[in-house]
Formats: sequence, structure tokens, C-alpha cells
Amino acid sequence: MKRKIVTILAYTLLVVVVLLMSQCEHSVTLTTVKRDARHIIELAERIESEEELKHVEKLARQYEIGYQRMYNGAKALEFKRLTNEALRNAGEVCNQIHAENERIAAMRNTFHSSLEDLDAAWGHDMSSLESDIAAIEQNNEQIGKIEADIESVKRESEKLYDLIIEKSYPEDLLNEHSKLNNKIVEMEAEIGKIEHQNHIIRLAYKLHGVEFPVNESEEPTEEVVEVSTEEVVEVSTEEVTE
Amino acid sequence: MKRFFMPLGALCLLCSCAKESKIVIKEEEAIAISSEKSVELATKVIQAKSYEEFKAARQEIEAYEEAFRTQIGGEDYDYFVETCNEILGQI
Repeated sequence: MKRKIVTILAYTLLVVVVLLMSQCEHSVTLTTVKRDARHIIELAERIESEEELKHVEKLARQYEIGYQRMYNGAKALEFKRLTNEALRNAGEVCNQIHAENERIAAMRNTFHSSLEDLDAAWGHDMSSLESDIAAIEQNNEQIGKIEADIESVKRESEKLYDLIIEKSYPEDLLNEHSKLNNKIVEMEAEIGKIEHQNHIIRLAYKLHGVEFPVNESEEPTEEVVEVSTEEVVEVSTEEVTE
Repeated sequence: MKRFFMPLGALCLLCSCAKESKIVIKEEEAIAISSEKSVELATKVIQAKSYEEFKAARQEIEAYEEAFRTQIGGEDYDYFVETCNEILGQI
């Protein structure tokens, strides 16, 4: 008899513990579906960042699970139906904010890199035009070589992709293909760096009023490059009228 | 006591002067300053005749960019940076 009572008590304790644990999983206090949905909608309308969106989505999910466990699936579905649109709208607002932030970051980046380029150009050693012409020629040759390498790697990558399709996407070949694509990206970045070096050299001569020969074999012409203020103002007034 | 308060007073004066040198943009004047200063400062940067002139112009344009970004933002800041970028890109 005693044994039976102990077993029953143990089972009851287990059930209580399980119930308490299930309560702990969703730490929200349920009121009514409409009231809780209203709360989530109000929060969703005030969302201004991805973190806030994630927090409100998590909260909504907790309410949903709570309704599912404490009542039934119908109440959970009703809650989801009521809050769905507000959360979707909040997601769109977040995407717009994200895109806007990226646009501003790109604009700022252009602003600061233009100034950095000008700074580097002012700091460029102008003692020998011949050596600068030679440097640009060398850089151009290097660019040509890298471009040829890129073409070769691209062909290799295409062939490999055909093989991947033929062999039903094996993982080792996919990894190899990804490595080749990364190599192409690296080589393109290298070209970007070299082109930037050329740009700085040319910009340095422009700042000092010396026209850099278009064809590297040409002799430099001592021509002062004047940037007219009128032109500059004209552009900005157009912007104002826009 | 005087020994203590005199240097403290001088320090406070210095601090207030330092604060005054910070660019302050009033919201109601932001549009005008944005269109005027963007052209003026960016032109100064690209027309600098020496590295020293360029450095001074750069410092000024960056200070205004920072002031517009932190104090005004929005369309006026966009306009300031876009106009500067357009002029700086002309060189």
C-alpha cells in the first residue's frame, strides 16, 4: 500500500514539474487574444531597428505558443492572424531603414575616400615624371597579366561546373569551384588596387597643374589645369533647383 | 582660496572657448548652410594650391560633414554630402 502511495506521489510531482517547466518556456502573461494581439501590434508600429523587430517577433511567438499550450490551436491561429500584418509591415519598415542606412554609408564612404585620394595625391613624390610613367606602364602590364589569369580561371571554373552538374553536385568539387570563384574575386580586387595606384599618380599631376600624358610614351605638357568655380557653382545650382 | 579658483576659472574659460569653436548648425538655417557651404568648401578643397591649403580645407569640410550628420541629418545632410561628392568627383 505504502509503495503505491509513494509511486502516485512521485508521478504527481513529475506532472507538476513538467507543467511548471512548460509554463517557464513562455514567460508572457496571457489575457485575451485581441488584447495581446493589440499589444504586439502597438509594439510593431514603433519598431525602428532589426533588433526591435526580432524582439517583438520573439514575443509574438511566445504568445502564440502560450495560446497553443494553455488553450487550443484555434486561439493561437487567431492571434497569429491578428498580428501577422503588423509584423510584416514592421519587417518592411526595417528593410527600408536598412537600405537607407546602407545608402548613407556608401555616400559617406565616397566623401571620405575622395578626400583620402586627394590627400594621397598631394603626398605623392613628384620628383620624377619618367619614373611615374614607368610605374604606370608597369602597373598596366600587371593588370593585363591578371586579366589574362582571370579569364583562364573563369574557363577552368566553367569546365568544373559542367563536371559538377554531370556528377550530381559532389561536395569536394563544389568546394573546389568555390575556391576558384574566390580566387577570381581576389584577383579582381588586386586589379582595383593597382588601378587606384595609377589614379593617385595621375591625380597628383593634375593637382600640380601638369597634364599627365595620355599615351605614356608622350612627353608631358606643362599645362595648368584650372577647375573653374563657375562650373562648380553651376552644378550645385542645378541640384538646388532639382 | 584664490590660488585654487583663479586657475579653475581660467580653465573654465578655455573650455568654453574650445566649445565655441565647434560648428553649430541651427535647424532653420540648415538648408541654406547646406547648399552654400557644400559648394564653398568642396571648391576650396579641389582648388587648393598647396598641401597645407588642402589640409585646412579638408579639416573644415570634414568638420561640417560631422556637424550636419550629428546635428541635422536627413535630407539636408544628404544634400550637403551629395553636392560635395559631385564637386570632389570633378577633379
